[in-house]
Amino acid sequence: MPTRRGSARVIGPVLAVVLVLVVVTLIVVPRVTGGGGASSQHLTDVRVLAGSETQAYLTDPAVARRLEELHYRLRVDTAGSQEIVGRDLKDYDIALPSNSPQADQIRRDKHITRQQYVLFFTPIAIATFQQLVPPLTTAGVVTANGPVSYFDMGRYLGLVGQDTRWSALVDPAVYQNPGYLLIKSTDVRSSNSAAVYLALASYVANKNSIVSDGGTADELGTQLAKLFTRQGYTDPSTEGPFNDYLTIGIGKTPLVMIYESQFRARQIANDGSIRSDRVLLYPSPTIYAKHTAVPLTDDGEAVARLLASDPQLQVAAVRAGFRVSNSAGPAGNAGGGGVAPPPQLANVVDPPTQDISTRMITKIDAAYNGQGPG
Amino acid sequence: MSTAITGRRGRPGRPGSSTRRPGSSTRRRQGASIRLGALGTVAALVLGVLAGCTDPGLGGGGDASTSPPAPSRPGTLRILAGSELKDLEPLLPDLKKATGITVTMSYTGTLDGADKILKGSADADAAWFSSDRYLRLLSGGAAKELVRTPVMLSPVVLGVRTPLAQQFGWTGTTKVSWGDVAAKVAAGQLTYAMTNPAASNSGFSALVGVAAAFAGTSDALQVSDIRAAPLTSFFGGQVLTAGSSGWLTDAFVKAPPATVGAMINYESVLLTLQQSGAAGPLTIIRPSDGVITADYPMALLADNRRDEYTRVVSWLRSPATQRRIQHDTSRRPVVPGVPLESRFGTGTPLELPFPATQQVADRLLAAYFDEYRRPTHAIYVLDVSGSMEGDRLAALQQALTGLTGADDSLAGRFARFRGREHVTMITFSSAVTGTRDFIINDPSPGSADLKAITDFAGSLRANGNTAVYTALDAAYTKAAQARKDEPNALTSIVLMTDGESNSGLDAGQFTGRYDARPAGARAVRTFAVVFGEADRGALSAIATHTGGEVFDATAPGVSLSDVFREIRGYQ
Repeated sequence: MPTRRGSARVIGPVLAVVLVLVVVTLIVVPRVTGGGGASSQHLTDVRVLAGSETQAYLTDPAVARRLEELHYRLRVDTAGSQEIVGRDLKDYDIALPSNSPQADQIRRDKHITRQQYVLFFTPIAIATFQQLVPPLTTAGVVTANGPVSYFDMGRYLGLVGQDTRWSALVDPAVYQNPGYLLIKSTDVRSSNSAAVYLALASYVANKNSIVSDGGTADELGTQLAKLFTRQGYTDPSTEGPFNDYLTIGIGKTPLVMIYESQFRARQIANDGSIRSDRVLLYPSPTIYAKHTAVPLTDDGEAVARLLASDPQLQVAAVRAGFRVSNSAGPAGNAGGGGVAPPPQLANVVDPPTQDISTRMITKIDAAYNGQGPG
Repeated sequence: MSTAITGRRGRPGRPGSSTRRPGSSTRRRQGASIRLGALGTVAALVLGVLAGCTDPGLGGGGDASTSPPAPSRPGTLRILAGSELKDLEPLLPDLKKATGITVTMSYTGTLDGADKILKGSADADAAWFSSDRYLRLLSGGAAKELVRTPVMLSPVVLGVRTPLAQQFGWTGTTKVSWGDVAAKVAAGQLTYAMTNPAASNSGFSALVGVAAAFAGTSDALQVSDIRAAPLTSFFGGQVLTAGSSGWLTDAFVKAPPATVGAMINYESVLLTLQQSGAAGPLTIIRPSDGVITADYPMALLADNRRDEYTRVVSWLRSPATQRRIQHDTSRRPVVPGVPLESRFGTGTPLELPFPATQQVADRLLAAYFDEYRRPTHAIYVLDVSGSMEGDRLAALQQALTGLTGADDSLAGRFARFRGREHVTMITFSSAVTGTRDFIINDPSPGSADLKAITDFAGSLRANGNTAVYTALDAAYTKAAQARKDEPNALTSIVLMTDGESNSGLDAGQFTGRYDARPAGARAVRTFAVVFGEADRGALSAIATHTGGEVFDATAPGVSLSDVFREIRGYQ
């Protein structure tokens, strides 16, 4: 599988100031059962600094219970993946950024020789509504391949380039929106998922090639800025637009860039939020976010290995919507609840390097401030 | 951008509220002690430990407003909040039972709150306003929020008196756009109430939403998209303004129906008002060209209260609490899986984008005040009796110059005297000692128009007795003339005194003369400022009788400048 090189580091030092110092301390207290459970004094505390996308998994009671059986207890702080790279990690046993290039960088910066562990991964995806699928199909943006629908990023960028509006694609009786055809995302200047979206768009805009030179990055940053500036105010956290999709709905987020894991976690939990009109599309091409544990201590290494390999812990990850690589075939990634296993994706690409992404985002930031066409 | 004024218990327009609050005695009791000066230090504003106290405002609230700030301690979450969050107070005892966390809330306006959060002087563990979007547009604002969690939803929409809605054909499932509303305004058939967008988030959301809708595309607004002509036409219909959504609702309920036909406010406020019937039958219009929805995010400010914060927001977002919030406060649930009650209507209103930059937001605000809204006429009645000598006179001078641009705080910048504003300064001691008129053609700080007011403030001298009613009577004579000369202007009176009236007309004489004035003059509200040894009861009576409000500049940590700035939200 292709790695997600560089996307972790897309937010450069210039933009780091806007990163919110998100550090949530959640002590996962295991349920000490009266019977066979280990008492807390026999548990080894393992401190993890993790990207926020993995928080729900790491604080899942089932994960805590399983680790307790294995005599460990997690103490989890969360932070933006970019921030994890810059943090002093001496108080932690594991660093768990949302993708592997950041893990690479941590290992380089902190001179870590221990092996890193990809615990699980998930592709970037687009959530939409059933009533929009036929008009998007007619427009050539969406194509169905069996039960899986793909979202053609090249075709989409073409329509955005022509300033296409929803009103030109969709019968107003079906959906009335005078605005531009636009995927909603988080703030590209602070959020990792939006940075992945930019990585994807820049690949397509660069004639299906990873952007590798500064001049092209400047040019594409300016050209692609309207994907973000036209959204107006954007939310800082990946949960924000997805929550809008689930609660406010089509009036705010007709198309929203999310991680597949967010959608699948809701489906598997069967909490009623993924109603029959909710559709997940796979951008073509797409990019994987690989949640990669960097062990910093011996205890950290032991737990990272367990998280990556223990069948029960891997099942819990699948239940949280992630894909695991050591499952017994695709069906092993189904996660239960009658939810179909995630599709195998063929067209997966790498993001550009951190420097290139930073240059593009700098151009987008300038467009926000009225210094460029937005 | 909610107001600092906090006299109300719960949401206005609740069943029974109109009968509970009509008289001056209620207003006096609440007004004098509590409703005051939330613009000062947060310390002065803590309204008391709410957990375990189902109705903290009655009785004990006044004392609480003067208590020292609660210390930060484990198991406690001190929240700096917008006043519209007061209706969540009844949940706090159950929150305490379920989580063990004691939540205390203190209230301030959104811009003032943003100011404090930016400067790190909020002295709170968390912030909870109807929106944090403006704060997050400010440089350094986003970083102050360590975590943010939306708690509930309410779009800013329009409530129209039902007979009028029927006359317009705005019934059933008929689609009504902001453009349709503007057409009725332009035809002279519709006027409405809306909060001041620099003081209250509902007004700000309406301004941003309408500007986006009039751009015709529902795209994120750029400065170049702002269309002044339709906005000026639209805001020409705004005949009632206020610094807070709650106060606006009270004023709308009391207003003769013929004087104001509709109100722009949170859907939650309008649903509650519809339910209570306090303003008569109301038709809620969710404009088809889009709305802006408040998401009430709770933001963590203090790193050492993460655990408390997490437990509080988890409880608030639990399905049971979300159902209760929906039922009790008419706000929409923010978590998927809690179904929306049918009274919220069918269909999803289109969500208009909020601007991406402070530049656009500030440009809209400035243009609203200087160009779009009706011109204003602010009549100040200022006590320069002997007791004002010294610090008090200096405070008055500072308060006035603050409004000419000297106050560079976030809230201060939008509280300045604005373009097209007519300012009248009536000074009094034993009698009226002077009347000066100022017209602000150039509202930029340092302009000759504003310098004239600064010079006037500097020239004030104190001596003599206190003829409060004579001076106020003169102000109403001025107002009566102003209503003839400038019928479109929003005219209001600010009365500042530091003592009891001991000269000239008495209260009865003033009231008799006021009651005999034409309706246009009687519609001019008096916002009375308690300063020094002023007679709170007398000022409350004046405010109640004229539909105004009392503000306390004597509360600890509250300056006269704070109060003058806050009153700008009502002018």
